[in-house]
Amino acid sequence: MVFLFIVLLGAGFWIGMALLAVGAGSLSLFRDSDVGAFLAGDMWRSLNAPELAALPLFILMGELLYRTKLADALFEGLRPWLSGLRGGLIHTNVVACTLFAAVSGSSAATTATVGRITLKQLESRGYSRDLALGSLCGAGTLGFLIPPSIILIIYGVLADTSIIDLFVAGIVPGLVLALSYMVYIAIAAGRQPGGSASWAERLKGLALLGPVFGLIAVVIGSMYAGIAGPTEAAAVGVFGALVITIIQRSASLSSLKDALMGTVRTCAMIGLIVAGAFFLSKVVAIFQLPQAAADMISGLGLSPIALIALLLVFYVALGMVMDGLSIIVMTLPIALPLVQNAGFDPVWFGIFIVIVVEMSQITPPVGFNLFIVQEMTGESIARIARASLPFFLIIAAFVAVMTLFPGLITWHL
Amino acid sequence: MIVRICKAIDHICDASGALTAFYIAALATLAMVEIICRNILSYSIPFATEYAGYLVILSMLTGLGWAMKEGAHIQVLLLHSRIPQRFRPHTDMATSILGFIVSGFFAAALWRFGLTTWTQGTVSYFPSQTPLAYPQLLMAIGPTTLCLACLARILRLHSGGRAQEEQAL
Repeated sequence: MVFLFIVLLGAGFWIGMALLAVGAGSLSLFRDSDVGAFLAGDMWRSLNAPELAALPLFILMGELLYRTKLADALFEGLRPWLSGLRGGLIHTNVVACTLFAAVSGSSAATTATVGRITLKQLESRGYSRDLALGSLCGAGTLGFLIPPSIILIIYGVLADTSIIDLFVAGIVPGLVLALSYMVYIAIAAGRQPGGSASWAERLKGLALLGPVFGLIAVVIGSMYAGIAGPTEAAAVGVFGALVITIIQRSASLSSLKDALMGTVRTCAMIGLIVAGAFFLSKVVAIFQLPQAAADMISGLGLSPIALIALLLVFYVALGMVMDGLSIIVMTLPIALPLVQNAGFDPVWFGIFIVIVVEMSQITPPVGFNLFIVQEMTGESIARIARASLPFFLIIAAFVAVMTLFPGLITWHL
Repeated sequence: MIVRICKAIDHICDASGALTAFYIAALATLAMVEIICRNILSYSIPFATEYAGYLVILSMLTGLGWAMKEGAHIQVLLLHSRIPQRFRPHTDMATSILGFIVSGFFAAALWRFGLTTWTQGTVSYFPSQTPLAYPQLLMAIGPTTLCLACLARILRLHSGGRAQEEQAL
């Protein structure tokens, strides 16, 4: 099964179809069953899930905001607040990504939207190119961790874990990572050009940040006030994003159509992979592979910490050649029972795997954030990856901390 | 002839993309109307949860063919990009044929599933008692367009044209 999968991927076959092919092929060869009926029934039961509605809706929200002037407003609004800090406006990459992540849910959208504005501004003001590139790649990954996160929604559905619990669990690690990035930037960059802004400028900046804070408050507030569930909060976010496009005069029929078609594109891409992953996870369970893997690992006599260290190395290696979503959906059926047997909570593991996937976004040769920044700047992947290395190490250090102190993630459970 | 077939398939894929956009917009509207009704009018739309489920599955699957045409489906091209240029059309052809077979099997399974439900007259267990064959047959459109998009790739490669650029990894 694994061999066939590797061959298909190596030949450049589409990941979602490879998952389907391996599942259907294995069942046909080794089990006497009606594979087509099993596949169709499983697809219907797995994807006909109202809780998955948050996925297309949060994607649509991000697509709408991508087409607004929100990133310009973020930069201009944050500038007077951050220019006086050690590291100066480099911090805008981190804070703007953190804020945009809270209204987007996608790492790629966060990196592209923020980078489109900040990189030019930072370059024109004479900031370190490497630090600007690295901090954008690193902070862009927060789009996966800070709620609403598309990857966390998919993990929640696949692992049958509360999406709200996952969202709450992602907040502290997201903020700690953002703060760690800022501390590193302050140390690495030292005093930078700019100087402090007046309080009048800061208040003016705050007004520019109003739409972002308003949207975050509406989306998160509607969930915690009990007005809307996670799925409905996504719909609130879509309409909030629409209001912002209208206020900023970015609304037009063509931009709405582009946003919808961008959503269709991402939904279909995710839909094929998730459909394949759901199916393969059932097939893997039929062949009792998770149990066999668990027996094999328990035979090694690894401690829980050693198991997590082993998984970390495995995922980082996988992240060098695959994208994060595929890594999660392919490995979850085997990895989740393993870590649960070792005593880890599925919510904790959800955050762990998302953070590891964040690392995969900035590891060459395959790292989505590296590609996005390369496309924007024309810099070589090698230079961008080198610039991102300190941020990769910060994430790795955080994984060690969260493994030693799981309460950082599970405090609310 | 091949050009006309490919163009016809492109149009079908475009239509499936537009249909998916409609489903997503309908999903957002349904969720928003439900929130307003429940919180302001103290009235919950009886079919909101049920139809949200149908719209999710249709939003995820109906655009498969359009996404293939647009090169949105993810491939691992790390090894593929190292294959000598003269062999690439062959590997592209092989993956396209395999994609056609897999998506054809996927589509056939979903059509059979929907038609069986139609024959049996199964309805949903929600108060609406919606005949489940409707959403299930609509669900089969996506994999069918995916199969057609793979066929268009095969025809284009066969006639010497290049397959669309993929979302490369």
